[in-house]
Formats: sequence, C-alpha cells, structure tokens
Amino acid sequence: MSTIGTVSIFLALVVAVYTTLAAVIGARRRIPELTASARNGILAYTALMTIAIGVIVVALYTHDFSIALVANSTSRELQTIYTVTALWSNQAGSLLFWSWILSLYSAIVVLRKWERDRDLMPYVIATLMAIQTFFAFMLSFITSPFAHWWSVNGQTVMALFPPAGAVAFIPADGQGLNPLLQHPAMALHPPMLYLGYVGFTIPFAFAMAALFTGRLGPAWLRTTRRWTIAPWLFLSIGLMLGGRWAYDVLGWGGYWGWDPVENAAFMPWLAGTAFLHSVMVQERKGMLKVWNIGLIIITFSLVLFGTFLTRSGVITSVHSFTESDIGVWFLSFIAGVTLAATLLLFTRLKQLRSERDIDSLLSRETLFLLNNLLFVGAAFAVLWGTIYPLFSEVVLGTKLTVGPPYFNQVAAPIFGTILLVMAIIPLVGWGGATGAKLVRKLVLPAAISVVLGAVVFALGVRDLVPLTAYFLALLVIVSTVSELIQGTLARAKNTHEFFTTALRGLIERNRRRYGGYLIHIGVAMMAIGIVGSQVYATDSTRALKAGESMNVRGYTLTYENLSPNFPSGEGEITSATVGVFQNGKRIATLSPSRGFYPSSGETATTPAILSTPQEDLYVIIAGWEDNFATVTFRAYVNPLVFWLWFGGFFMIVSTLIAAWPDAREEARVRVEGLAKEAVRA
Amino acid sequence: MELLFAALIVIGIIAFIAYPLFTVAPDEIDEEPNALDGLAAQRDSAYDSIRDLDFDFQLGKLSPSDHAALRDKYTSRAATALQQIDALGGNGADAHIEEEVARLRAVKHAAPSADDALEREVARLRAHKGAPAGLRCANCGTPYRVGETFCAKCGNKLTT
Amino acid sequence: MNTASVPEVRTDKGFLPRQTKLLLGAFVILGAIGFIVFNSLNGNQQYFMTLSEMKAKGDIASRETVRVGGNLAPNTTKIDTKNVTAQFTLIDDQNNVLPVYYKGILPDTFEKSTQVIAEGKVDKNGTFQASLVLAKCPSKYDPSQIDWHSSTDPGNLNYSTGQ
Repeated sequence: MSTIGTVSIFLALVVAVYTTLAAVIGARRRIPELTASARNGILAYTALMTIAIGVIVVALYTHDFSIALVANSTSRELQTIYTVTALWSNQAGSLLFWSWILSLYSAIVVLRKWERDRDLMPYVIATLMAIQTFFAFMLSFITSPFAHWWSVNGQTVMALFPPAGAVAFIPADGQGLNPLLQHPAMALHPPMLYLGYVGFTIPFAFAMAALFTGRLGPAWLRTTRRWTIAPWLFLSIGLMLGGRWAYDVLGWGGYWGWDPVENAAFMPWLAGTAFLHSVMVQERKGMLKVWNIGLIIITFSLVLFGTFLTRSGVITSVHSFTESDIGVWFLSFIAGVTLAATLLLFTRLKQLRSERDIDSLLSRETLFLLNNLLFVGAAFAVLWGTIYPLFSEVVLGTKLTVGPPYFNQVAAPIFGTILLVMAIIPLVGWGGATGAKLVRKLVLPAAISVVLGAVVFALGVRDLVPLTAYFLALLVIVSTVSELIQGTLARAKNTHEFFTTALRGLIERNRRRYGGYLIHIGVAMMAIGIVGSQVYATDSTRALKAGESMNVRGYTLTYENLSPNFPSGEGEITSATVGVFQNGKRIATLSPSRGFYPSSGETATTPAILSTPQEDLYVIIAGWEDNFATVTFRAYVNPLVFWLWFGGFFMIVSTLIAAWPDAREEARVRVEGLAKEAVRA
Repeated sequence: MELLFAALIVIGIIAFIAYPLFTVAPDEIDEEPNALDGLAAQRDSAYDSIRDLDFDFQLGKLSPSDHAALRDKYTSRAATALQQIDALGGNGADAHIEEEVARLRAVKHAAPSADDALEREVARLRAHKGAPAGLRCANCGTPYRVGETFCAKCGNKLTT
Repeated sequence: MNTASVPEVRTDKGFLPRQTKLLLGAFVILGAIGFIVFNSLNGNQQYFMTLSEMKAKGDIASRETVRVGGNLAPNTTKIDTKNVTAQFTLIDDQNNVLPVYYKGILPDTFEKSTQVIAEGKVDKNGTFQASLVLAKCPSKYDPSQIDWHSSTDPGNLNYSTGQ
C-alpha cells in the first residue's frame, strides 16, 4: 500500500514543478491554456496529497507496522483517535500534514477566486506551488512518510528504498504514543496550529502576486483580510489549546514556559496580529503599504522558521519530538524565500507610495503604526531569546541560554504598552483627535480604573509592576466598554432602536472596529489572568499518610484514600482521593493521579483542579514511598487563572463576530463586479 | 494490484493537467489595472470616513471645526470619485442592473440594519442609465451639488 | 463649490515636519525595545556547557548559575518523596563526574533518560545544586527520535519587586 503513497508523493513533486512554471509562463506570455493547466495542476496536487494522507491514515488505523511512521508513533493498545492523530506526532507525518493542509487551502482559494481575481491567480498559484515544491522534495527524498524499517548487517535502518542486502523489518508492535500526548487537547492542538500557520501562506502568496502584477489595490486588500483572519483565529485557538494542555497534563501548575516550540508558534501570531491591524490602515487611508507587505513577509518567514524549529530540534526544548538532518534544507529554504520576497518588495517600492499622509500625530493611524512597532518588537525580542543559544555558540564561541526570566522581563513592558494603546484606541478617530477631547474622554474611564485599582491594592496587590498591569487591563476594559455603550446610545438616538438592537446594529455596521473592541476586552481579561497566576501563585508540598492534612492558602487538603495500580488502557493508574476543606467545611473532592505506561516506559502526572473565577486549586501526586505508606502531594493556588481561559474563549468568539461576512458588503462587491462588466462590454 | 492503482493515479493526474492545453480557452486575462476598482474603493472609503466622522463627532471625539473641515475633505473626495466613475460608466447590461437592484432590496429587507448606503447604491445604479455625470438625490434622482443638504425637488435629506 | 482646494486639517506645528517627528518616534520606540532586550539578555543569560567545558572553565559554576548537560549515570538516582528532593550523578565520556542535588519533583521520565540538563550552581562541597532539571528520553528503536521532558519547576513562584 505504501507504493501508492510513494508514487503520489513523487508525482506531486513533478506536478508542483510543472505547475509553478506553467503558471508563471502562462501569465507572462499570456497563454491561457497554460494558466488553465496550472489551475488544474494545483488541484491535482491537492488530490495527490489527499491520497498520500489517506494511505497513511489507513496504515495507522490497520496497524501496518511495516511503515516506519506507524511503528514509531503508535501501538496496538492505543486508542483509535490517538492512533490516527499520531500522523502529526513525527517528522515526516507532520511535513506531509503541512503540505496537505496548504493544498486544501490552495484548492479552496483557486476554486473560489479564479473568476474574481483572475489577474492575480496565476501568480498566487505559482507562489503556492513553489513552496509546495520544497515540501514535496523533502517528502520524496529527505524524510519520507512511507519509509520502512530495514534490517541490514545487524542494524536497523529507516529508509524509503532497501539498502543493499537488507531485509524488511516489521516490528510486532509499535512504540506507542507518548502518554502525555494522549489527551483530547493534543488531538486538536496540532491541527489548529497547522491551520493557523499554514493558512498564513495564502495572504503571503497574494502579496507576492500583488507585487508581481502591480495590483495592490482594494481587491488584494479585501482578499487578504479574509484570508488572514481565518489562520489568525486558528493559530489563536491552537496556542490556547497548547496552554490548556500544558496546564492539564504536564502537571507543573503552569501553561507557558517560553519553550522554543511554544515561541515558534507565538512569533508568527505576534507578526500576524500586527499585519491584521495594519491592513486596516491601508484599507481606510491607503497608507502603510510597504509596511503591510513587509509584515506578511515577516509573518510567513516566522511561520517557516517555526516549522523548522519544531521539526529539527536544533535548540533544546521541552517537547521537540524529533531531531534530524532536515535542518540545513529548511534554513536554506527560509533564507531563499525571505530574500526573494524582500527583493521583490524593493523593486516595487515605487508603486507602493502612500495615497495619503498622516494628518495628525495623535490619530488612529499613528496608534496603529505604534502598534506595528510594538508587536514586531515583541516578535523580535522573543526570536532573539529563542535563537540566542545558537547565536552565542556560533558567533561568540560559548553557548549561552536565557530562560523565562528574560522573556518575562522583555514581555512585560512591551505588552504593558500594548495594553495602554488598546485602552486609548477607542477614543481616537481616523484623521486626528483633538488632544483636549481625548483627555476629556479619557477622564471617566481612567477614574473608574483608578478606583478599581485601589480595590485591587486593598486586596493585597502592593508591587508596582503587577498593580500597573492590572490597572492597564482594567483601563482597557472600562474604556472599551464605555465606547461600546456610548456608541450604542448614539445609534439608538439616531435610529430609535432598543438598546440591544442598537448594539447589534452598531457591531454589524462596522464589524472590524467593534468586533475588534470585543476582542480587546478578551485580551485584557487574559492579561489579568496571566498577571495573577504568574505573579501571585503559591504552592505547598507535603508527604502525607492516609488521613493526614496539609494547608495551602486557606485550603485544607486531607489525603483520604488511594487506589493504586488500577489498569487503564495500556498502563496502570494510581489515583488518590483528596478532600478539600475551607473554613472547616468540605467544598470538594479531588482525584489527582499518576499513570505508568510500560510500552513507552513513561509516567504521566495528572492534576486535579478546583477552579473558581478567583483562583485555581491545583493538586498533583508527586510520588510515594514505603509501598504507598506515604504519598507526597503538591498543591498550587493559581489566582485568577480562570480569566486567562475565559478571556481566551471570549476573544475567539469575538473574532468570529468580527470576521463574519457582511451581507451588505457582499452585495456591494457583487454590484461593483457587475458595474465592471458593464464598463468592459 | 497496488502498482495498477498507482499507474491509474499517474495517468489520471497527467490527463487532468494536460487537458486544458488542448482545449480552446475563451477567457482572456484582463491586462490593465482596472480604474473602476480604484475609484470605487476611493468612493467607498470616503463614504465610510464621513460616516465615521459624523459618529465620532457625535461621541465627542472631534471639535466642530475639525469635524467640518474633515467632512468637506472627504465629501469632495467622494464627489470626485463619483464623477470619474460616471465618466467611465457605459449604458450596458440594463437587465443585469435591474436584477442586482432587486437583489439588493431583498438583502435590505433580510437585514434590517442595512442602511442608506444601499439606498445610495440603488439610486446610483438607476441613475447610471444614460445619465450625465453628477450627484443625484437618492429619492427622486434630481442632480445636486456638493454641500447641499436637502434636495431642491423633493426635500429628501441628501447623504453623501 | 469647494472641490478645488481642500483645506488642510492641521498645519505642521513646531519646528520639525510631521514625517520627521514620526520617524524620530519610531526610532525611540525601537531603541527602547532594543535596550530592554539587551539589558534583559545581560541580566539573565547563563552558560550552557558540557561537563568537560565546565571543568575547563574553572570555578565558573560556583560563581554564577549555569546550565550543564551530561549523561545520567545509571543506578545513581535517589528520590526522596517525603522531602521532595532527589540526587543523581552526571557523567560524560571523558570520565567527568558531577553529583547533583535537586529540590523538587523530577520530570516523569527521568529514570529512563540518558541525557540530562541541570541548571544551578556548584556548592562548596562540589555538589551541583539544581533549580531546574530537563531530561531527554530515548526511543526504543531509533536513537535519533527523542522526547524531552522537563520538570520546569520555576522554583520560586513568588514575585519580588526590584527586578
């Protein structure tokens, strides 16, 4: 069965090369047959990748251990869903998945936009297929998902074609999946991340096409906006799922460790956020064109770099699953793409002149520009910290690392400033705001926030940095909510609608702006959750005999019962029953557990969490002694972490609101299309 | 057996890709950047800016003089774009336009929050049919000049 | 009709044109970010060494916090779950030996791991007092496929002012 897969991949490589050339030549020489053939080519690539994925999925499902990928990542006892999702737990599979997702996106773009953006499409296809050529090449020659294990001269070797004198080696059972990855969030987290990452290739391709053709106008903008918000949403979801997984599964009470793999997904998110905001300025005022192209190039380069970081294990990381020789190829590819795109940008600089100048230094435009600088600065700071070990080893001769303290220290001032900008932006209009007017509008939200800040102070927050952070986050919420209320009231006055109808109308009338405000509120809530849980978390560790208790921050935990070595799936789980008391009253029963999985030799600590908006009580079993006579528990109290998850959820729902297609605008676009036809005829 | 499948796939894909090379392709690729595109965007951007300006002024973010000055600026920008669009406009596809007008009305009813911008669009389309360049009242179609607030003929409030 | 000359909303105030002010502002911001990055880097960077490198650098590990990587010597891991501490020994192929003492919970796969990274300082007795332990776990079949697991125990979770 792997023959079909291998053939599909090799053919896909040929198709990718052909399609790239056909698209470019067809467009430049105006040979419609060639461009039409290229269009079919990109669809054919999608079909071939789907066949390859299908072969792997069937192989996984049927435990075909002759294929190395299946043997390395699954085992017979593995639950079906994790067997299939093991596709992306290894290097070749994840590259295949990357290419497949891009091909799906490409097919949708081509099928939907062929008529509308006829002038851009050939170059979009060419860009996409040039990128796919790289992946198809990697999958054909460097790291094939259909490689087998061969036994030769007493060694086992993984390769696509048998080395001389080799015999096929088919293990009886696979190695199994790391139990830490057997969690629903882990089944969903990589696909979400990939839908996010890979999705940014589309606006990148459109930008390149726009540069090639010189059509940097409204059509490009509208397409880009749609095709950027979707990957951004998926990436946001992916990041949140990753954080939640870390919290639920890794058992150290935290959700983010500034790990290189985490940073690899965060950096494109930062650049993508800057891009999303910046295109709004181009839409409204025809400015920042060069910035926007630059931003999407940076975003895509970070996407590729992130893929490289995750897949090549080049930097020590908590969860880099594989380490191999794709590194050199990837780095060259990234360098090539970035260089080519930047060169193209430079040759088109003249056509990217701003249509307008900035009217005033205190205006939405300047704040958006400031926003760009801050987000790009943040991405740079994270990038620098992540690659510092490499840089220092190569350039300085000694290997130096930085850990969370560095990242927290740079993130705090940058994100604090971003919060401040988020607080002011609802109060400032396009074209300019009168300084006095801004101050007047700021007074009430600031006053309310100061009062709330005083409450926070009274509740025990005395340190300046967290206090400031809380104040800024509250300011964002108060300022944004007040703007929403005032806007609704003003609209209700004009239209005589009921308050809720007016609010809905207000949002629908300008989804990007008011949906965006809702997103900001979500982000501010997340900020509150992050500050609380990072700065004021406490923990306590005690070894207890059955019946004994420990205290942490007002909770009394009593170790009541233990059920040791309970068989579960492919391993055994030991779980304890812990009674939680507050002020003498029993408020909950928690069951933290520890599992052991023989096929992979792994242990997994699963926390038990009691969550309230005020704080999380998070309990794990640290270990046991004397044949379970004493069990050591560690209990964390994480204040406000609920708001991180709730804020994230709020942000995601708000994104859907902000991105929802506008019936009015669709109609408007259609009318324009017809008017264009009328003119042409 | 596998090889047979693989061969079929190869043949199928190659055929699919090669097919357009041998069939006559009737569509042409539009070569010049479409002027209408840019003008329409300018017009819409000006409308949006004016709408936002009015709203911002109502919410107290702008002083009266700033508001008036910015409004003038964008109104004339919209007018210029409209004039140029009309200059480019032809008398074609009447039936299409009627069809689209009907569809717009349907959209407006479906989404009650759809507003006067649609109405403007409808009126413009109607006005397109063989009308000289210029701004027209959304209600009765009488031309008017930039800066006038009410239609001289029917008294409708003129929104730009 | 007022289509010919559009009144400018704002004239340039001050002695610098608007564009220049913007550029200056941008430089200030980027400069500030660069400064923060540089500063934080200097304050937080640590050597990341092998055992032999650490030996070659004399007593660096007793003066500052470093990260050191080595192989876990088999049968040297002792875990005290009552006090939540652990001891183990790191070795390399040049016969360097480093006893490590860690206050915290070791990562789940520690005892099966071959390579370990520890962050901390060497005390007066030559024992490495670790505040963070990262363990590398080899796969059964293919040594080039590795999982990393970390204790990621930040140790001090309480914030203190005056960074």
